[in-house]
Amino acid sequence: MGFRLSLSQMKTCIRTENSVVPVQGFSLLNEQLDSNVHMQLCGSGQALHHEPDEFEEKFVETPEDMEKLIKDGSLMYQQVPMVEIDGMKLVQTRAILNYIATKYNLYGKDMKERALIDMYAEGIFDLSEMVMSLVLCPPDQREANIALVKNKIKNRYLPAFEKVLKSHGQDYFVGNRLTRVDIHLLELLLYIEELDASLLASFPLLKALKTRISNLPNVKKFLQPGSQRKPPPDVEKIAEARKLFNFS
Amino acid sequence: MAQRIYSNQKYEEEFIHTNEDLEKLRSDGILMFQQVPLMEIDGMELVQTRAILNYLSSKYNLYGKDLKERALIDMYSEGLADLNEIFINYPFNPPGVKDTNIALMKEKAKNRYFPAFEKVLKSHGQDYLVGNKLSKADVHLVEVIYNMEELEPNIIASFPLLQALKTQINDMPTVKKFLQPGSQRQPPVDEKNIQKTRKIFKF
Repeated sequence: MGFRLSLSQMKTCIRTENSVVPVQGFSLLNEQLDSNVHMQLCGSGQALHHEPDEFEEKFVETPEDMEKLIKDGSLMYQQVPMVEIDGMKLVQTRAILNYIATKYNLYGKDMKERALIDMYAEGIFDLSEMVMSLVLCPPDQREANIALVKNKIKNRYLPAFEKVLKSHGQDYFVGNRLTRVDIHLLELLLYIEELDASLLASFPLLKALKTRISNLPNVKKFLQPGSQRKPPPDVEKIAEARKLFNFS
Repeated sequence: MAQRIYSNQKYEEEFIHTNEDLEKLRSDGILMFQQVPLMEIDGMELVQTRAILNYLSSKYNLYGKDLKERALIDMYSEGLADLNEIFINYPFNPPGVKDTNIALMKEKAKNRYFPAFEKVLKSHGQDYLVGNKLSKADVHLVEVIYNMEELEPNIIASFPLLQALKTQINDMPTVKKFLQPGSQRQPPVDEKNIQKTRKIFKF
């Protein structure tokens, strides 16, 4: 499920008749690569509940594209991502994800399940951000940072998640049914696998979850070539994008 | 704890004063990711700030009446959290970075965030940001206003509707009490706190 930013093209979206239109792009304020998290949920949310090609993406490719969106008043904080859905122009990744997750019943059955889901998802986002940021790291710091992140993966986060699965022995992370946490977790595990597959070795329940979720029909389709999934970020393309959009 | 103030709930706080306090919590196994804050509530040991805030907001009816109101509240809260994050971290910035960030916060507050929220209030003419009723978005906004006023006292001078919201919130009895000395309100971070924090969390 690894949605990634295609950093040579940043894209915005417009709404069509029946589809959700996720927008990708950097948050120009703080450069968070959280668009990919939002994208993956958008994609998976849509994929699981509609035909997989029912969301349309448009990309921001030049500063002029960005200026137009800003001038149109579409971006509350002059930032992407932005999703046009159900008459709203929603910005802020978590606002977008929370709305889509609730709408498609991926956010638990009550307040307490939602609290657990939030707790798990936020931990996943913290770690995802660390992993995604490795590619932005200056070369002289890269090795040290990779070691740090791998340490957290192996000793803090994966044990915590494995423990949850062990505690209830169920097939899904929360409430014995599919929720957004399973999807966020799958994405994270795919990133970790890309970083270093051996990190997953001592976590059998997480590995089993990863397989199970990957095999859900629409997820499986999404993970195959030709889908709207984006390739991994590329250091050169990031540098290009930074120059183009004039941030350091 | 702003949420609990607004709903007049009593709460107990325990503070970490030393690295040993932190390590004890960690070895007790109650910090899912070895991090604070932690809130024990309704049989749960909740970590992650947003998980805690969202739960409290839902429980005390500060999170809107439906899905769409929640989306707006999230959109507003998250924007404010971006600005507030710089504010929370700046005391720990090295000197040159600190000055840059102070200038950045003032600029973003005055040119991006405050205009956006003034516009929302203007668009519907209601007393609160969402659904004509107090929500976590109003709480966060007023908190950010207080924080920015520490950097520049007149910072909302050209935002009459924000001023009105701030006054309205200040006048709530529980808030009024909270803003007075002797309450559970924390003072601004000072140099002593900074050193203490660095020692506890080893950075």
